[in-house]
Amino acid sequence: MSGSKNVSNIMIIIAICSIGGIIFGGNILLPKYQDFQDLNKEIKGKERVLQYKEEYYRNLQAVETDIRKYEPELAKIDIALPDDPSIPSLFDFLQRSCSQSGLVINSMGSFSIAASSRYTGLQDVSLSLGVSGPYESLKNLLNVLEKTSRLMDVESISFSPLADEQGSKSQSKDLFGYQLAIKVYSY
Amino acid sequence: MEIIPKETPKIPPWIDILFYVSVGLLIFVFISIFLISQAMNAAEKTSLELDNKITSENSKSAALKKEILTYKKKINDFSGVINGHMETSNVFGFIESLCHPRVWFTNFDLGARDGAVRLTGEAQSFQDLGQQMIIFKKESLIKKTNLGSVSMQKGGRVGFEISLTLDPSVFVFK
Repeated sequence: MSGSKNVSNIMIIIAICSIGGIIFGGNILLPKYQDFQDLNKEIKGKERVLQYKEEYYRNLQAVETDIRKYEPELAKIDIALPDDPSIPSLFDFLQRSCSQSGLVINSMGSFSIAASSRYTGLQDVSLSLGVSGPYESLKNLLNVLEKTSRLMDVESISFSPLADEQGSKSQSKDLFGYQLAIKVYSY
Repeated sequence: MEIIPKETPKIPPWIDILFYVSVGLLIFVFISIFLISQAMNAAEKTSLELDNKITSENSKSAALKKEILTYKKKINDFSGVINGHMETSNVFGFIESLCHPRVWFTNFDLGARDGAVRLTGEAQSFQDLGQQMIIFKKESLIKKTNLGSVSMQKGGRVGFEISLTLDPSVFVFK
């Protein structure tokens, strides 16, 4: 009697273990395994993306290194096209250039900053300059302005003899009054 | 009361095997669930780390790319501006080289972008003014010559106004 009871107990255990194994295996283990597989695929994909990104960054670094070789030239570009109009230094430069060239500044007017009509993304800084002095001094000034590291375009020039105290033209003295329209550029 | 004990019936071997298999199956399932859970945790951590690395690479690349594009833009802008840069002073040497010895200019107006020059001056005589006009007309870098108002001045001198249109190559930056 107890022997057959033993067998039936064992059979119950076998049934519970088998059903438990099937239920846990089918409902928990298999979906988890599937998720694990998916996650592994995702990781492999991300590793490829990361490799690509790292290679891309290395290429960018190589380009940047190449650019850095031209640091002095880039510094010149920064001076020619500064990030801001740098008005005080511009006025200072004009004042010094005029006096070094032998000209006297009579007026500085019509100053404006506007989006460039010729160059996208740049600003035109336009100003007019009234100076007086000998003709040779004007040529000196123009040479200085044209050769300066900050790019300057002299857009227009007009001059006429200066009137002396009596109101007559002072041609004998070779002194002229000049009006210059100057344009510089910035970001 | 039995004096001789009854022999307990033996469990058939296939039940034994089935027992161990089923118990083994259950244990295998539980251990597998545990191991996969651990592996999942590790994989999720790896995935998160990769996400962070990708984000970091993205931001590093974006910053470097922005810097490179800024350089590129500056270089392009500079080439545009330098190509359009004018040497306005060239015009003086150019006009001086064409100036008649008995003609002098008193007023000068230049619009460098369109190459327009307006000269006001005096000539010793009409003949000198005529020769000056011929010199201007013969010059290939002067596209247009126009004689404006002409007037008689003191001492028989001739006042005049000349408009010239210069070729843009006169202002080319060298």
